[in-house]
Amino acid sequence: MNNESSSHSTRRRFLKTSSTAVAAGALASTLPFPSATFGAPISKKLKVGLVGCGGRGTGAAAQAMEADSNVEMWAMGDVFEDQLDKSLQTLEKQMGADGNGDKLNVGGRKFIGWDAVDKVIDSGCDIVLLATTPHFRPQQLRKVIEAGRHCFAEKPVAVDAPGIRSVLATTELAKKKGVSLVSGLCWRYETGMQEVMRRIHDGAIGDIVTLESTRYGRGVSKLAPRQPGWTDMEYQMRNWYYYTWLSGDFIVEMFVHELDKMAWLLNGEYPARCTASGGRIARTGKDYGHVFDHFNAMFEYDSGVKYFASTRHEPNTDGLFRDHAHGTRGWCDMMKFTIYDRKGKPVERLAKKRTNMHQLEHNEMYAALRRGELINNGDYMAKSTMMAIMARQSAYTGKTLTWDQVMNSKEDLSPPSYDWNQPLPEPPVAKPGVTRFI
Amino acid sequence: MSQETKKTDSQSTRRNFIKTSGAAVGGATLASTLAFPGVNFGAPDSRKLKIGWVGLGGRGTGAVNQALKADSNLELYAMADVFEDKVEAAEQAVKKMHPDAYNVGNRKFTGLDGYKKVLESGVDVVLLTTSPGFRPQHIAAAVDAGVHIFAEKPMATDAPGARWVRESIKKAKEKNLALVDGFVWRWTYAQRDTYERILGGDIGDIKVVYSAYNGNARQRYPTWGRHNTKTDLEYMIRRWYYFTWLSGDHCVEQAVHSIDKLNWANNDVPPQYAIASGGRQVRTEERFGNIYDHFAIEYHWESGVDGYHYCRQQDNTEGGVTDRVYGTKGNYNGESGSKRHTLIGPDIRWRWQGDRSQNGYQTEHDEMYASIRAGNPINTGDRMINTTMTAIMGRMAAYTGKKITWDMAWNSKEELVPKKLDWDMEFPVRPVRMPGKTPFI
Repeated sequence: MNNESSSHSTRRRFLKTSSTAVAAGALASTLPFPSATFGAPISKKLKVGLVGCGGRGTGAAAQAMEADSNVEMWAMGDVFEDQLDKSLQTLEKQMGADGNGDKLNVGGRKFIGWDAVDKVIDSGCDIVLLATTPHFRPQQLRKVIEAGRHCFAEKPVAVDAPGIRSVLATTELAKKKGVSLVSGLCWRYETGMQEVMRRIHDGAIGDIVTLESTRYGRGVSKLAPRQPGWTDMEYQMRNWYYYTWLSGDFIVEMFVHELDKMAWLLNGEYPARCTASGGRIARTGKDYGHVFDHFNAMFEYDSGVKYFASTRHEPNTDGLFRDHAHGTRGWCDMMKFTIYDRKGKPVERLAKKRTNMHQLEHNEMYAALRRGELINNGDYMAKSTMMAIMARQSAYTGKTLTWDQVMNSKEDLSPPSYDWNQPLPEPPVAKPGVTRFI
Repeated sequence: MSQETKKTDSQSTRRNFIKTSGAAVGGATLASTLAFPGVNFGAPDSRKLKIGWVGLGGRGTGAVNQALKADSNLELYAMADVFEDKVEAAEQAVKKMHPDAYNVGNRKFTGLDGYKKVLESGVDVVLLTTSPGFRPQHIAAAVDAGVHIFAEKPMATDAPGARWVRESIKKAKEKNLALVDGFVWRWTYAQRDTYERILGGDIGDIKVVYSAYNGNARQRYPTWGRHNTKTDLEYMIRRWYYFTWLSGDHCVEQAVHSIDKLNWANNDVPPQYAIASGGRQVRTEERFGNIYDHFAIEYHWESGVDGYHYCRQQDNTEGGVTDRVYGTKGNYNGESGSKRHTLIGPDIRWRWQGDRSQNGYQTEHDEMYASIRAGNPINTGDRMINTTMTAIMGRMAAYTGKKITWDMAWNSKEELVPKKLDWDMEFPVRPVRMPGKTPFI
């Protein structure tokens, strides 16, 4: 009884904070349960497990706890004990502040090691949050879905094409298994952006001609200086952002958000070709692994659309963060939720400020489960990640690459083994014209 | 049918030129295509014009060849290069192409002030084809000497140089001197026809412009190095392309052609600001000086137009020199090399079908001499310096990581070219610029 009323209140809150577009978007992205077995709204207490206890994972856990009244934080896993302990402390504080302190019930279910994901699943979770470094997403996602658990998967979902192919297969499996697969590509749940997309899809700016995204920033500072006794593996895992095999490089790790917005805008059309350049000029030296610090890509679509996409992470440089869509009847400054007519006059301001999209993605996931509906974001989360990998591969090699080429790429960035003593020499920095497309 | 089209295109070229260009240019074109007005201006070819040539490299040799073909009463009268060993080859090349027009005698000058001696030798016209770092000084001296100027692109490598050129442009107008640029596509009918249509609204309102100059690295000066040059200055001038103060970097020296077309599509209104990234990813050895090997520049115009320019010089990467203009009623797709230019939209399917043999490198000289003969010399200075500055602004944005406005760029105090050059001066190679660390000056 208590459960029911609180789930109603969750739903009400959800409907209240979201616009009609959210409801429409949610409907479009949810699937009715295939059979009576799955069709019943879930009213029981849901146990949530977190795998990958970094900043984003900890945030996702707190948001999951906020999203529904009848959930509990049940298990946590990471490869590093200190990371897990830190995360748990943060969660205690955050959940306490949110009034969710009583939902923290991890007890002794703190799992450390390469197999933490298996233990979190086996501990009896209903829902698993995957927030490790992107490299591990495909294999962990498969395990979660095979075990029939609902999954929230942070972006990006892979670092190479074999990983993408695995995620696409797992996406289908999730449908068969009747479990939810919600993506951390949070803009899809941001209500202002949903409204922007609705208006653009309604033809507010006519046919799309060009798209532009620029995300120039100063980068992340997650350097963990090498400590005595650290193996190559530990060093790279602790500095994961700077290793392509772990993060996918920053165009994949971060800029995937912008690429996904444009995939959404184009109703799921992905580029036919990409020509990209990039390099590292400011963030150099061995402390920064081997990733680039700037990328510029031009995507070309079979529909004729061109997309100019630029991103950089260079300390102490000027920022610029914008997404523009130009159409035959006007244009849209997406980050300002504003549509302009052909003469450049603002005609529609669709939202004033950004909603809490990291919260909304969880709200929708639980609200759907409570209604007896599933969400499956697998297709776009895989393909948008692929789009980012495409640009990285083009920039690394200096070649124009087609969608078919990259979807069939054989480049597997996995290490020979997941063993702390596995020697991992520093990978070379890519050189366009020298680095080969595989 | 194609003949018909051709006629229409070349007519439209002429019309376009008058309509879309500044008064000076329009007048000059008239002069070059109409009968000469009369004795006041002197009959065509009435007086032998003496040409001086400064900067005896490959592009310069081409320019001399084209200049000497542009008018029937010209001669090469004097020449100069900083290096003595350049003279012999240049002399042989001109003698082979134009044996009757070679009249240099002993007016062959070398050294850092060779250009002064050319200007003092009594020439009417000077071709300035040295490395770009010297251009502002050479243009100023030529204007002071009252000599007509053909100046290869770009016109400067830094803002002080660009400001100097801007002053010279004003003086050249006052003195009624020709000042003609080597932005070859401006002198190519295919582009003139096409940009007339774009600016005339054939593809609607322009929203986004894009150009790419993606090419290979091309090993320049394989024989020159520290081992066979005596001083810092000689080393750098021998390998000038690789030093920003001399070449401006490749976005200024080479890709400026494509940046020029972005300005052209914006009716020669320069952009409001640039933000850019770039780096040196492959061409990293010391002998490659301090220039980058790739740039990606975003420009923004006050009109709301966004512009993108990408360029790189990296071997074994995807090439392509292309221009695109995206409008509300269609798109322009241009390939300068193949002269393929199309405007495609729901209501337009146009492809340029004019005279494919027309050569802008020749036309720039043809129109220049015709305008001098007509007493109404062409001065394209304003647009050539604006485009040079647009490219420099992009480079500044890439080097510093800052958003650089048009005003900031013009007022930059960064002096890359030393005021006084001396063969023995200590002139260490400047470090490769690093965005976020390299200050905007």
